[in-house]
Amino acid sequence: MNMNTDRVGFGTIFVLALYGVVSSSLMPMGRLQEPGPGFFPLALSAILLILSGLGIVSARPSAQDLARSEPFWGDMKTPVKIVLATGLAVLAFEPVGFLITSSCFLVSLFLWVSRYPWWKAVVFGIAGGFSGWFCFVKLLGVPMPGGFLG
Amino acid sequence: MIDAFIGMGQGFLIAMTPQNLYYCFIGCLFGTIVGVLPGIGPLAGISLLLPATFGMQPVSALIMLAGIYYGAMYGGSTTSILMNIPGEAASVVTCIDGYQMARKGRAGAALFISAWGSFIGGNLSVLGIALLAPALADFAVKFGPAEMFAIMILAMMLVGYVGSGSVLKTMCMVVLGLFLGTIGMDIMTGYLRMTYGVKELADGIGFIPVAMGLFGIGEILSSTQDTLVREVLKPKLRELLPNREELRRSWGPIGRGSILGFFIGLLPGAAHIIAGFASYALEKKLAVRPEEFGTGRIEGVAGPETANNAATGGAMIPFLSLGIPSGPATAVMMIALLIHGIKPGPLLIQENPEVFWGVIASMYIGNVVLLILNLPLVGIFVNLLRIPFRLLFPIILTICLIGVYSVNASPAELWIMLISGIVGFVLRRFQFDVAPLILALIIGPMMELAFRQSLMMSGGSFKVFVGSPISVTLISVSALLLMGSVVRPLLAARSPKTHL
Repeated sequence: MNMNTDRVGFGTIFVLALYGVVSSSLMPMGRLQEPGPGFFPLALSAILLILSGLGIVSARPSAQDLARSEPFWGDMKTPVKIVLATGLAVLAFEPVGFLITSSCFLVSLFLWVSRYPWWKAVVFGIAGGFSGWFCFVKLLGVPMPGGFLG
Repeated sequence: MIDAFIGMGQGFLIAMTPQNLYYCFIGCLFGTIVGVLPGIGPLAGISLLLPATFGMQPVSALIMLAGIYYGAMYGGSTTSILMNIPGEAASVVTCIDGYQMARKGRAGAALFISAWGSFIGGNLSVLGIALLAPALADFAVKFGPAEMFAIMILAMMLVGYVGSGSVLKTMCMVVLGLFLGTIGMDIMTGYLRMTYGVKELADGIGFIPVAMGLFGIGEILSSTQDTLVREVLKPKLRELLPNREELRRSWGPIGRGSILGFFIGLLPGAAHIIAGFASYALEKKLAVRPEEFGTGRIEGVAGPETANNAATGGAMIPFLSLGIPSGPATAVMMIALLIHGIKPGPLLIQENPEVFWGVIASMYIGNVVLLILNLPLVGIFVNLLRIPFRLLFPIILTICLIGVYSVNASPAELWIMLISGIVGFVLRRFQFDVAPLILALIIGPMMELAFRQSLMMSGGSFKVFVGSPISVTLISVSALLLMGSVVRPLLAARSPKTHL
């Protein structure tokens, strides 16, 4: 059976809206004369619940859904690799510092995702890291973490 | 009217200082580059250079950021015409006839008319700002919280109504954005909402990390699944000038595109994208032989390219005179001004005339700079497209990290950016447009404040929202748009072949 992508999309938002209704109903509601912090988020999540519910009911499989032969998500290897590399870079950003993190991040992407030969990946990565540091930190004065290089 | 001309004169004195001319040039150049490169739009471009503006004068900062905004519109057409790949979302429609012209050996003429139309449209829309924005700001001074709430409701309804694709999907994105805007410390009571002990969330979800994540990282994650076959057509300099017949056929579309684009630009949402499509549809409707559209008609390039540039001028009006950004790019410009302690809105012209008039005058200068940049240097910009995507995307990702970290030096915001990137990727797969979410995220806190202030002032009566002629009008128009939005999908649902 073909997947109805619209229904799955609206369904995901419906779950989010349901979560919004529950979490905002736990906040103080206040009175109409003085609405509390939960009033507006509750109203919004209720509207979102209705809209996504309508979406679920009215969604029909699109022509793309009916014609699709390959998996809906397509090839996920590359996006997952990029997310993993970016996550590691975010983790290392402050403790290791911008220069080393950005160079390693670039090398890993050039090597792992872009599939450049290792020596090209290293040259491009280090050159990119240093260029970024020079342009943003030195020329534009953008504050970046020094890490253990200080 | 006279005040506007005096203001413009003062604006030119400010914009023509060597420092501001330099920033205007840098903004236009950078904007053209981000417009040429597919995958980096004006939003990412403005966000990337935002940290560099921290040490500048507010007027210089806004001059540079505005230059990136309209520069990207110029640059976006180059890839559409030469490669059939829109460098910027607003240039999608230019691909249709622009690329066909290029295949027929008229790439130079298409590029010239595109740049010339952008120049005319850009300048006429700046004239529109100078004349309309002060009047609108004077009018908006009378706005109380109820009127502000009503105008923001109207803005959100317009986003839903005129947005591309399904109305339900767009409205879901709008409401989701408004909901995300409520996360953080409640401004009235200090109550922490959905922060789950993360202290960085107390100030709310930052606009920049979400925007960079949804647009920058989300776009890259999506692009890695596409296979782009790039065939670049190279125009020769001697072929750059259009012939007499092409020039004659372009004047009408350029004139109509300027007016249409300017007024569509006033609407919130993806106005510059809609402006291009609306202009194309208009030209096709007016054409004697509409069946020739799509085969390389100059009108199909002149109209849309003029309209999308005129729309950037129109989009500056609600931002400068009401303090309501009409799109993600103007929202980042608003943040830039707020960082410098300047609040855009009805009082901007009175309290900071140098910023208002300086930016408007700089837009005239910027349009001249862009015309000079885009015609003779088109060959250089085209060479940027030879950079393979596998070399480009790691650099864009690194710049995203730099851009987000530099705003608040917060690793938590880097995580927000990464998560937003994943969310943006997923939303794209489900064919949800992420732009309304971004817009709603920035309007959300203002809207909630106006809503609660209105209720408090009226002692809890909802009549306050229909208590003045202004708010009645705004709410009525919003209600009509809502009805239209409800009826359209219902009619579509009756048709067995249509779907949301």
